[in-house]
Parts: sequence; C-alpha cells; structure tokens
Amino acid sequence: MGSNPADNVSTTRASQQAHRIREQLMAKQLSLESMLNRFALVAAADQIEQAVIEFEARTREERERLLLSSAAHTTDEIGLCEWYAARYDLLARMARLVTERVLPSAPAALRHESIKHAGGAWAYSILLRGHASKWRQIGGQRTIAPRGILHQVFKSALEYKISDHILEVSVEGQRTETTVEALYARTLLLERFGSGNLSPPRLEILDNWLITWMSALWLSTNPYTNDATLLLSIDTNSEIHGLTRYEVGQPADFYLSLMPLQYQLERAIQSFHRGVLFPGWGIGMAFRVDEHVGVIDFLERELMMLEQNILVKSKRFSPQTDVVADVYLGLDDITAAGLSDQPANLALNKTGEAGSKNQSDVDVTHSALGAALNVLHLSVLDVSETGVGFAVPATAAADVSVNDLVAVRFGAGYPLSLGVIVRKTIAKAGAERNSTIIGVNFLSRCPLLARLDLQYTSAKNEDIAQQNIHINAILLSGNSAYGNADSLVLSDAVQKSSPLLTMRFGGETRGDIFQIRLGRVRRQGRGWRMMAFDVMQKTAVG
Amino acid sequence: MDKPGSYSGFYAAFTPNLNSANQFSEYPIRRRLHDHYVTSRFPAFSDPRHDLRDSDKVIRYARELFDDEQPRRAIELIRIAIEEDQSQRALWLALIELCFLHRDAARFTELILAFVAEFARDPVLPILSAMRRELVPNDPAMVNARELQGLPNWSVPADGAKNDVLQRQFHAHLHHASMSHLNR
Repeated sequence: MGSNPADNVSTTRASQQAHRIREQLMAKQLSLESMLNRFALVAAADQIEQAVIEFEARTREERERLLLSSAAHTTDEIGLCEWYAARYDLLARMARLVTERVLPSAPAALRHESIKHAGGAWAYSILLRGHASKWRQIGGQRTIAPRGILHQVFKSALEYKISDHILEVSVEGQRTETTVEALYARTLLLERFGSGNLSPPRLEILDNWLITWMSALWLSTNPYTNDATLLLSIDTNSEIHGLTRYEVGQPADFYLSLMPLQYQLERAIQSFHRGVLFPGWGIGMAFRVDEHVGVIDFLERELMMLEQNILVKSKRFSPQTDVVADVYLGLDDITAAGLSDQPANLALNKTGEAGSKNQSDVDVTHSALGAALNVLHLSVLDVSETGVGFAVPATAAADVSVNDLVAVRFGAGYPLSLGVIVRKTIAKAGAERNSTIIGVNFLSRCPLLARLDLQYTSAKNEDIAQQNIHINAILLSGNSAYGNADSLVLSDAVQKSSPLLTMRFGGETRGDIFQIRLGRVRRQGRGWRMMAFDVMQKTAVG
Repeated sequence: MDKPGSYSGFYAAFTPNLNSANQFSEYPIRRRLHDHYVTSRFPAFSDPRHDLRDSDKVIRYARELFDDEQPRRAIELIRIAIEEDQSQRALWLALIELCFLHRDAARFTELILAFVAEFARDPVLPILSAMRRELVPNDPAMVNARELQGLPNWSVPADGAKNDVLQRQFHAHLHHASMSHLNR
C-alpha cells in the first residue's frame, strides 16, 4: 500500500523541526558548559535547572514518540535514545562541576550557606545521571554504566551534610520535593528494577512512580531485620554492585527497606480503583492502562521474591552480571542431567487405582549425564529477583523459543533454578548488538526431581502384557504452608491422561505414601505442563 | 491449629475503600478507566460491571490467584468487587478468611469493624470472634470467645474443598526436602 505524499511531506517537516530543536538545545548546553565558571555557585545551579526545564519541555513530544515506538527501534531511533542519554549526561556533569567548586570558592565563614544554596547541583547531578541511565536502557544498551561518579557525588553530599536537606527538582515540568539521598535511591532502584526486564514504556512509568514515591525512600545505616531489604555499598571497590538483596548479617554502608514501597504501590493501585491514572503527570500518562498494570504486576513479583528471601534463608545467587551460567533446555535434559546430582528421595508411581501395591522407592541419585546432553554456557546480562537475561550465541538461538522450560545453574555449588523463557529478542544496541537475548522468569529456586513409573497394560490377541516406563517429573514447593501452591512439572503426554499418582516420602521401610490427583494447568509450554494437584489420601509405612 | 504463616511479611490493604465507586456517575471517564484497569489486571473479568457482582466467580478466581502465589492480586480482586457492590456478603467473608490466613491482627480487626458496619448482627459474628481470639490470644475483649474449630472455608469455591490436613502434611514433607537440599 502506498503512503500518502502529503503525510510524507508533513513527517519530513516535523522531523526537520525536531532536528532543529535538538541542534539549538545542544548548542545552548555546550555554551552553558563553557560559561559555567563565570556564574556564582547558586546562579550556576539555577542555570542548570533552567536548562533542564527547557530541554524537557521542548523534547517531550519526541521522547514520547520514541517510547511509544519502542517495539521496533530503528537505527535512527537508537541513535536518538543515545543522544538523549548523552545530553542528560552532559547536564549531570555540569551539575557535578558545580558541586566540586563549592569548597574552593566559598569563604570559610560562608561555606555552609554556599553549600546549602547550591544543594540543587547535587540533586541534579544524581537525578540527571538516573535519566541518562534510563535512556541508555530505552535505546537497548543493557550494560549499566559504572557507578563510581554517582557514589562520589553522594559521598560528597554526605560529607557536606546536605544529603537529607529538602530540595526541589523539576521532572517533566513537575516540581518535586526530595533529598539527595532519595534521588540516589531512586537512581539505583531504577537500575535494579529496570535492568532489561521492562519494556521502555513500562520503564518510563516505573520512573514516574519512583519519583513520586521519593519521600518514602530512606536509607538507613542499620539493617531492617523484619522487612524485605536491599543493601548498598558506596565504596567503588566493593563487591556489592548497586542495590543488592540483603542476607542476614551482611555488612554494607546503607540499607533500604522495601516496606514503604509496598505502601506506595497500594496507594497507586487505589488510585486506579478510583478511576484515576497514577501519578497524574509525566509521559507515562500517554500510555495505555495495560502498560501501567504491567508495572504493577512486575513490582508485585519483585517484592514477593524479596519478601520470600526473609522467610527462606539459603545459599542464593546474588544478582550480578559478568558470569557464565550453565543452562539446560527442556524437561528431559533438566531432569536427566541438570537435576541428576540433587539427592531427593522422592518416588512417584502412576497408577490406575488407589492404593496400588506397585509403589517402589526409586533412588533418583544417579551419575551425572551432563557431558552427553545439551548444556549451554550462556553469559548473564542481568538478574533480578524474578528473572535473568542471557545472550545466546547464534549457533544455539534456533533451539530456544518462548515458553520453553529451562534450568539455570549460576556456578559450581549453586542449586539449579527452574524457569521459563518469556522473551526472545535481537539486541539492537550495546555490546550484544545483533545477538539473541532471552529473558527467563524463575518458577522455582529449588526444584526437586521425582521419578514417575508409568504402568502400561497392553493387550494383543489374548496376551496381556504389563510394562513399566520410568519418567521424570519435577516437584516445586510453593510458598503457602497449606500446600495450595505446590506444583508438579511433567510431560504433557502424562498430563493428558489425567492420572492419579502416588508418591512416597521417606525410606523404604518407613515414611508416608500420598495419593495425589492432578488439577488445573498453571503454566505450560512445548512438551511440559506445570500442574496444581490435590492430595487425596495418605498411608503411613513402617 | 497449625500456624499457617503463608505469605506472611508483605503489606496488603485488605479493607475495601467503599467510596471508590461513588464518583463514577459524576465522572464517567473515571468509570471507563476503572473498567479498563479491571479487564487488564483480571483478564477473566471482561465485563467488570457484571462480573464483579458474580460472587462465586470472584471467589473462584481469587482462590486460584491465591494458590498461584499471587496473594496481593487475590486480595485486590475481592476488594475491588466489594467496592463495586458492597452488599456481597460472601466476598466480605472470603476477604476476612484471607486476612486471617495472612495473620495480620491489626488489619483483621479493621476489616471486621467494616464488616459489622455493613452486616450488623450477622450470624457469623461468633466465628469472627473465635478467629480474632486465635490471632490475638491475649486480647481481653475476646476472653469469652469460643475456640476456632478449623477454617470456615469462606475463601474456597463451593466445589473446591480440599483435604487441608493432608495437603499441609504433604507440603511439610516437600518443604523439608527442599530446605535440606538448599542448605546442604
């Protein structure tokens, strides 16, 4: 279908106009940078704020369009995203220069006043660095920029004792009261929650929300033992990268309780119940309600995983990149190789009737078969509480599809995590440009192998033969103490016959045998089903 | 009774905001956004004005969400359905049971007060007192309350009753095996 020539002309004109605006804004920023030393400190901080307000007002339309067209960014659009990141970076750098000039320029007697009045420079330095990081992610660059400078700016705010002063910043023309500390927490939270798991519109919505919630972002030097908590180190040489899940006893410079975020999330939900789009400002207002609901779902999952961490203390993989993980594909390989070295004394029998005498306790600990099977060694791009992103080499890209079952081991000694592929895309920018990226959602951090004995009775002429076929299944312990959330992952062929199953816990001479009935399908993919089940009967042995 | 402890540790607002729907007649655009939100958040409820008044459907779907480890969504669904029509007594009771399972004494009390305001002299009040006594054993106001005899199963659909005792025993075995494995 041919396009309307009139439309082409107006698109070209709009594009030329946008280009002119960008050139004007860039020239203004460069001129401001060169003149910055001539301003007094307070005036310099004000000039930067004015530049931010003008920049956001004149580019809002284009940024909105970029976010809405996020499904398939062209090379030009990626270039534009990078341009926005660079502009915010330049403004952030100017603000940081102002913070560095405070001490040498202020007379000792007026130093405190100078710092207080120029507080906006610290605020903008951190706020705009967060904006730049966001636009890099929107443009498809999944690598997070080094946080050294961000930490330095925050450290200097701590040193000058202005990190908790109430300041005002402008975001999309909206004046917001905040502190340097809250802005710092917002930037780190945005990086943590937004590292590759969210689409650009949802990332923008999340950012609008985090900015609105800044009054609830307080860092503490003491850990919160009863709340879901993240920790951070401002030492650039620390092994802790950004905000990391808190493990009991783990030392850090600061701790961030997530309980206030839960209250804020409830507030946002309540706003939708009243039919009002939250927070009522920002580019996010232009997006469909589905996108907002997607952010609610995402935050709920993330917070839930962090809360579970309080209840279950165990050896866990701490989110960090630059590691290569072993990834097993498909139910057969996961159960035959991935889970083969996990000692679980579980045995399942499929029987046609209750109380069958054919149960046998099968030792599922058998030798590793990994060498002969399909194990991929994939680079971890990003990890959150609920999922992980991988770069997949071209040779293996065709083997993975959305909804495939995978199991991941992050290193020797770590338990296997079970997950499902929820996203498969081609990277458009960054170090992984043109490679396949997959996103995996975790189903369980502790899947257990169980053996299923299928009994077949076949009748040919007058001969009746009985056959036993061993099939592997995976048991997942849910988070409800009532057992309602426990699941069994098995082959779709087994599920289709909707059998009764018996399962033994304990040894051969002593233990409990349970009879279970498969229920509804919770999730499914190629060749596998994750089933709910009801426990029907129990028989004690020994 | 065993302490369920399921999904403890998270904050959830249980008490419905009964004023939420009041402004919809004045601002139809809010009604539209609300309905769009409901269909997006709960895809099975494609006709919110009708579906949210179907108590059986709401309880069935909420229970599935609860069992699928989405307790916040389960609670929110019942809450938003009550906000749509606060006379749905079965939904209030389902919400009360989920709040009880959550072991949140403060919000349980808040919810009971809201329930009593809607359904004064309801026959379930003695059960509510027993539940409250179970949650706060030392509460002097509940000293004469009777002992709770099992869960009332208000949050379970009529045909979805399970053998809770066996299900819990099975889970205990499975949880133990999982923890042994993780901590080895």
